[in-house]
Amino acid sequence: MDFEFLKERERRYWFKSKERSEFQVKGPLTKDKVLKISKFKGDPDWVAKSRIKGFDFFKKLKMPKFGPDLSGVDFEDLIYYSKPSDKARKWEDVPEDIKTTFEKLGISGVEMKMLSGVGLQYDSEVIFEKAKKGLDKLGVIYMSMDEAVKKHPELVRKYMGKIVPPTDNKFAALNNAVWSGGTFIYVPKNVKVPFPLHTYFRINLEGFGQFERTLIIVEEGAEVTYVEGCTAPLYNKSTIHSAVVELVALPNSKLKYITLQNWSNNVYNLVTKRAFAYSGAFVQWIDGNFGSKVTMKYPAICLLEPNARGEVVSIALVSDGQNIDSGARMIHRAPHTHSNMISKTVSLGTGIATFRGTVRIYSGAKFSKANTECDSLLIGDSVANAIPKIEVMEDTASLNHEARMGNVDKEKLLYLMSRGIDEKTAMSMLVFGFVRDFVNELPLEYALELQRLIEFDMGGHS
Amino acid sequence: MIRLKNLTVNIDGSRILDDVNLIVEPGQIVAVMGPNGSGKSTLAKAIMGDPSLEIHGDILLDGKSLNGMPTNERANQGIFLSFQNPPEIEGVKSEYFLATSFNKEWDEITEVSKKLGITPELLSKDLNVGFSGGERKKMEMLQAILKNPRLVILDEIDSGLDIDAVKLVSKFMKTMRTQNQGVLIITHQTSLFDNIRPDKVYILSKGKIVEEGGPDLLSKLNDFGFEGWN
Repeated sequence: MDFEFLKERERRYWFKSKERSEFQVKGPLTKDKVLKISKFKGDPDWVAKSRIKGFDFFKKLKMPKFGPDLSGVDFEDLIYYSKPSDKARKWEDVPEDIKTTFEKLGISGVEMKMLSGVGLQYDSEVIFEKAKKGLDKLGVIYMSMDEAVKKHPELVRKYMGKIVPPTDNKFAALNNAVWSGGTFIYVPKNVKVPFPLHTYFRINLEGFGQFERTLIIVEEGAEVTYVEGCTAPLYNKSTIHSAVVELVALPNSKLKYITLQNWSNNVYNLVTKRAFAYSGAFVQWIDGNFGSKVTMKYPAICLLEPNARGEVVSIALVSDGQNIDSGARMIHRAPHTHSNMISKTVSLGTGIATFRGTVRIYSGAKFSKANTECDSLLIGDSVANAIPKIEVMEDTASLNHEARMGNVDKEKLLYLMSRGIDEKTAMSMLVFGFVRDFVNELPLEYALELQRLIEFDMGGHS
Repeated sequence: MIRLKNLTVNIDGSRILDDVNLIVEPGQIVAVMGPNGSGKSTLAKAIMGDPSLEIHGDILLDGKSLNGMPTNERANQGIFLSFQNPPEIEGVKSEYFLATSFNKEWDEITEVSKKLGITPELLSKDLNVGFSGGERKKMEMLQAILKNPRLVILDEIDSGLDIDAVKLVSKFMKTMRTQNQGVLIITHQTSLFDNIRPDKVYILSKGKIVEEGGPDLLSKLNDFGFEGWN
């Protein structure tokens, strides 16, 4: 197969932006530098203290002992904080060929402008203002984390760092020390947010920063869907993206968190995501990974009280030179808890896709049920691994695990081509069919974009 | 129209077809008869250019060699293969597939579907997924009719079809004949020819054409079965 289109993608879409910065903190990281960031951001005292704690553990904790090679991460040379310049570039300044290719990819106007780093002050503000009016009426809080620690300290303090503590792993600790940006959402009791909240509703660009911190709290009986990222490629000037996302789903609430990750292929994407699901609550992580050089991400759901449910539906589309190590963790700690894990990976060329699925059912989590399904599709000489880890300490629990791995079915390809469809289109039809479960979980406009992305990755672009 | 010249096909080193010569002229219905395992489906796939086959000899369409031409281009040259076992295409809705890949008006699709007894419910399902054998064959017929190819290859089209659908296949072949198009029909039973007489019959056994003749060969087949050529 011809992978020329991947180079083309790199050249065209992961273009570098010439961002000027007013304030920057470069490695090696010290306690003083952490405090400097804290002071610059005007943190409340408790945040400053928590940053120091994060820094201490960052120093103490070792690199992960499993997964992809992270020796390319140079902590000494990283930029840990950078305040983006307020001067927005103009849409007119974006090179013509990039505009055209955005259009070819079918990226919506809003996203297009966001990607090129312009326009947020214009279009997005209008959308955001409209959405915000509706949200205010419902009592929903939706703002950046930076703002939330100042405006709603009591709410944030109650949960921040409780779901993912700084002691969890080296990268979570680092995030705790230098975090900036990210999203805070609070949905009051019994409020059902009638539309998905998208990242691009929020005005500040820092949402796409390298150490973002997100916290979502859904009160009893409330419901919300959050969409993070977009299907379009995103250039990150830094080589590391290390976010922490904490979700709290209180009794009988529903929380659906959709991620579409398409970092450029120089980025180490090392993210810690975890949810606490209380009695009768339902948490879903819908996780799409398309970009990055290396990804390590295993969204977890802790089913803490009876009848809590958790679901992770993830796909990874891995092409030349990429190593995506993803999966899910389901922790059953109470009776009658249910979990469902569905993973689909597609690897192309020299890409490596690894799925790690952990299910742990503690003693006393009576009559709990867990299902895991893992499908891998290989195209070319690519590599896929499936590493399930199942620990059951409860006799009454039931468990189902399936794993399948294979190449594109030649008979299916011949069949489609015998109807006059060219090979690349036929291939992307089969791949799109393969990831259908994931697509069905997306809002329609994203489903359409994903289809274009797959066609693009299959070379349908030419 | 189509001519197979010294066609020899290997799969993983073993010979499946051996020096096959066969001609379908425009307006002809040509039958290739043979027992299971005689290489009939391989013959069909070789004409379609299945890349997993090692093909020697020539396949000529209107005197031009198709050697090395990808399957989709052969399809666009007007060759249609109705599969013996159409595979399940998950995630691709039948109606969406027909509307986009066949570039046909919805009215035409529903009209032909109705004649074939294909329900709107079936059309709304993923292509061939969970279809019965008969439903799959009807879907192949629907696609053949919509494509209106110059040469149609029907591989065991009659297995699993009810009487009404078999009549429709016969009617389709007649139409092809009157339009001066070609039909290559591959089957191991003669019942399909109750309504329509083929112009030519080839008997395929163990990868070789062992006899070729007119429709009279069918009665010989009916009397003696394939045993007579072993």
